[in-house]
Amino acid sequence: MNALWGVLIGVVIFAAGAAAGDMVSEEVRTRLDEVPMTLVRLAARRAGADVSADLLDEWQGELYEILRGAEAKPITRLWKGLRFSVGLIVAAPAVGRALRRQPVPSSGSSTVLRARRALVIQQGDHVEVRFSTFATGPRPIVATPEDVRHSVRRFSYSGRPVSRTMAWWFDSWLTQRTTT
Amino acid sequence: MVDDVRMTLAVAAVLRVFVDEPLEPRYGYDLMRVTGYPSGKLYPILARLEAAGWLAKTREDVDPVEAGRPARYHYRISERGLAAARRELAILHQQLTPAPKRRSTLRPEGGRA
Repeated sequence: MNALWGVLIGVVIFAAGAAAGDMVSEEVRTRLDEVPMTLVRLAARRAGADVSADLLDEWQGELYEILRGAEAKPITRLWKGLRFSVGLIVAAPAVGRALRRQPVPSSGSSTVLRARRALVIQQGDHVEVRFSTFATGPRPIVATPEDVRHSVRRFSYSGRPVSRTMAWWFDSWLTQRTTT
Repeated sequence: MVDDVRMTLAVAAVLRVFVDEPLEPRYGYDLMRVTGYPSGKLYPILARLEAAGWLAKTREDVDPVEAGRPARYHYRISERGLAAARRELAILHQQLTPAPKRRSTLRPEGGRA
């Protein structure tokens, strides 16, 4: 009889322990999901009062999809949620500025080609420039070979064509006037 | 409306997705998966394109209570954006395409290779 009681009490304790474990797990999961959600709210505030409500509405919807996609994997959910929300915190001011339609800061007029990084290949008097990052104004950019050659010469150390093939990364701002 | 869109490779990659399927609505998370860009890189691009009128953002027409989830926002490319994106992508492609090899001016004696 005592053995029967012992088994019964053991089963009850096991069931209670399992239920408590589930509750703690659910509690922890819910709390962890709140961390990225809180960060998204912070990101929306950083974007500015006039756009924060719409952005929060949008980002919460996306965060929900991200967290749902990683269902039943608490660490993965937390990791993906944190990546999404921390990225937004960093980018939120830029998003706010863009949505308020502030023009992109520019150092020149709108009719210039601005290259931040370019590969310059020079062979004799033949100069070829390949831009990796560039910005254009509203007009189509038409840079003639002569324009490019002139511009590159301005930044070369000698200003004279060299007799052998040269290639280097041009890593500053190259401003090229274009047709107006 | 801001016409000036700074065309970078990242912007081009995002535009490419819209140009490939102009009628397909795209969500932010979908774009993150397709382009591989994190949220901190993608959303400023989307905001710039939206401000320039190249993309239009629309709130999903669902009741969050009935659907059991928050509404999402999707982006579509506008007609003006499609035309501008095609033009800019063509320019970018032209910029990145290797120039045809120039024939050497040095020739063996007699002018034959």
